Amino acid sequence: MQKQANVERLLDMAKVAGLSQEAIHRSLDIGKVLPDRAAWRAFLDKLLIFLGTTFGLSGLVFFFAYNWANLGKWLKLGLIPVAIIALIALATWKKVDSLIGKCALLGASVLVGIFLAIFGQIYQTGADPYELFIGWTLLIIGWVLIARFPALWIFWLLLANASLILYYQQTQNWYRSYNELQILLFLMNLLALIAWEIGASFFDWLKARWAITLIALYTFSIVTTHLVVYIFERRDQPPTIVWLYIIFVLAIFGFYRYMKHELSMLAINCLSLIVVITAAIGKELVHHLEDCLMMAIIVLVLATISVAWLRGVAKSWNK
Amino acid sequence: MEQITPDKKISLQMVLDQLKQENLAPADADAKIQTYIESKPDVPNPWYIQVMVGFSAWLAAIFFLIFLIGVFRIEEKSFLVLGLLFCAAACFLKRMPKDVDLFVIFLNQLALIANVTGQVFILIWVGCTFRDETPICLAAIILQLIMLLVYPDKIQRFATPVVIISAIIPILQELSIQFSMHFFIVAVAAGTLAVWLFLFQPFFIKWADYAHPIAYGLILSFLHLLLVSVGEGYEYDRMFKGLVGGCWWPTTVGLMLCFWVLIAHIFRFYKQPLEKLFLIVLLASGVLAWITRESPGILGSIFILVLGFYRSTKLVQALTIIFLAIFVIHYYYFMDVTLLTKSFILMGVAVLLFMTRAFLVCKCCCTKEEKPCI
Repeated sequence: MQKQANVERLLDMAKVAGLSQEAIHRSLDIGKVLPDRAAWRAFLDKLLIFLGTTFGLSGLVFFFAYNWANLGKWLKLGLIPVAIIALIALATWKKVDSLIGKCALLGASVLVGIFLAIFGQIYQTGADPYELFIGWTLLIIGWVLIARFPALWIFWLLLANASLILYYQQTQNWYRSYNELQILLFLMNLLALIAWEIGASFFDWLKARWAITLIALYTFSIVTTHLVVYIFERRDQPPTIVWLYIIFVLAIFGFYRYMKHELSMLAINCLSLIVVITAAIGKELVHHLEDCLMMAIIVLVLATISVAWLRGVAKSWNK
Repeated sequence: MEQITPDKKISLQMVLDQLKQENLAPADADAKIQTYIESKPDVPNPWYIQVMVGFSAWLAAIFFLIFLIGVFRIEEKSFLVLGLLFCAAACFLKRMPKDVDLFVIFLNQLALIANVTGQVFILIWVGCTFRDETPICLAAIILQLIMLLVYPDKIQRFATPVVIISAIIPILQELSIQFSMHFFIVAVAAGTLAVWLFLFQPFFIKWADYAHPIAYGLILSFLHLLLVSVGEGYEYDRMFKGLVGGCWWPTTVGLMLCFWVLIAHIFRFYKQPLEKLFLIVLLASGVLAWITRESPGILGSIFILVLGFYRSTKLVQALTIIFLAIFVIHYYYFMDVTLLTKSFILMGVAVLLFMTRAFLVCKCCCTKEEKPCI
């Protein structure tokens, strides 16, 4: 009975005690599990600012992408810096700590990319797209640092990923350098994950779990996909990814099991392991249709062990 | 009795004490709840573990099906018998008493695999017998309804609306009723809204083990169904053009009405008068619906986002944001106007949203004590 009230527990309580409709609503109200006036206000504020910013920025991107003939090159080049200055002024006026200020910096960061694209279009600089992305990533780093805004950091990481992929696509042999690219992408996002987790211990604004989960999911998807590709197609290449994967999985288990209790990360880890082990055994042992029964049993056993282990871990944390 | 203060975490005991003080809970409620809490196993089973279990069972079932069909060369008529046997075995495994945790999980997984295999076998038999898509879809719907009743499992209950709604689409294609897709999507939206609004009613609480997974299944089905509106190309035209009739505004109008019902319900719940603030929300959503009339996914996602927030479910909100991103990107790329017009429309929407914020958040939502933010 001393457990914290949440929707599930309160509804269980209503079921067992046979509460009336009025009593159910009152219990949800007392338990403060449904949003109150202040929560609705914050929700609407965030929703409308985010949607407004997204639509507004997309509108600006299309406006310049249309390449309106009536706009001279100076006007085109002049409009964007004016918009950037206006957004920076807005961020300064509303303070960088406010949501409007953070969204204004996000807007300014997007406009830098549009400016670089228009500049390249007008002067035919001959620069490759990867150069534009690298320039964009480097130019906005100051704003990313001062904004203290998880969405802007995720946007920056997205740009860094795009820069790396485009660099390899446009300057290297795609097939030969595929292995190297995937490893670099994995290491870059892993570094971001580590930095974010360390930062979260010191700064409140970095405690946004959605961002950490998003980076972890992306990192897992890169390393798992690459390892499966390696298992089936690229066994001729050095097994660096195998060693990296083993270290990564063990580190994730150690960190989220003993240091930072987070079951969702352990579940992602288990799911990745199920996929990798199934792929490895499937490649080595499945030669006939009869072998599929063994595969079904292996998946069944792996999933059973994973679920039992995860539930055991959660129980041990609750004690 | 512990006092409830704004910064204190509220326990079940505190809620119950308060209810009893207000004569809203029976005097013997403590004992009943205590007994229930003690009898309920304290095993955490969050949604991501359920996803992992579902994914693994589905993967294992594929291997198992390949093995059975490939090795044994099963005759057509045997599929029905085997299918029924597997479904019965699944129900038996799921319902048999179990003690050891690891064994429970293993048998539950095995039951899920038997369930998937059994259902696939029965559908193969229906396909072989009738050689048509519609009987297969009808059989899938009936099977799901039967398994919902006899197979006590969260994943099955979640999958039921997803499979049924997916199976209705080919039936609609077969019937070739013009504009039927609009009615179907709006009906699913209305059904989803009804289930989520009634979730806190005593009757639904009594059936919460069924109602909650079904409610989540309906959300996923609805968002998934809206993806039809972002499709394009020859195959898409062949499958859906007749059902949709070349335009999407009827769906948007239906969704707008659902959204308005939700807003009215929220206002009633919080005992707010249906006056100025209510009219502003209706007007703003009406304008947004008009602007995005050919992209119903945007209003549909916002509708689910508000519903998810109203019911305090972060999972629904996170899922909806992913779908919203898909719909917004689609809106940018496929509007049938020039880039310049598109850019003006998008900037117009942004201005509308910021103006709505100014009215809603800063003027209307502020109490007298709060300082307006603009």
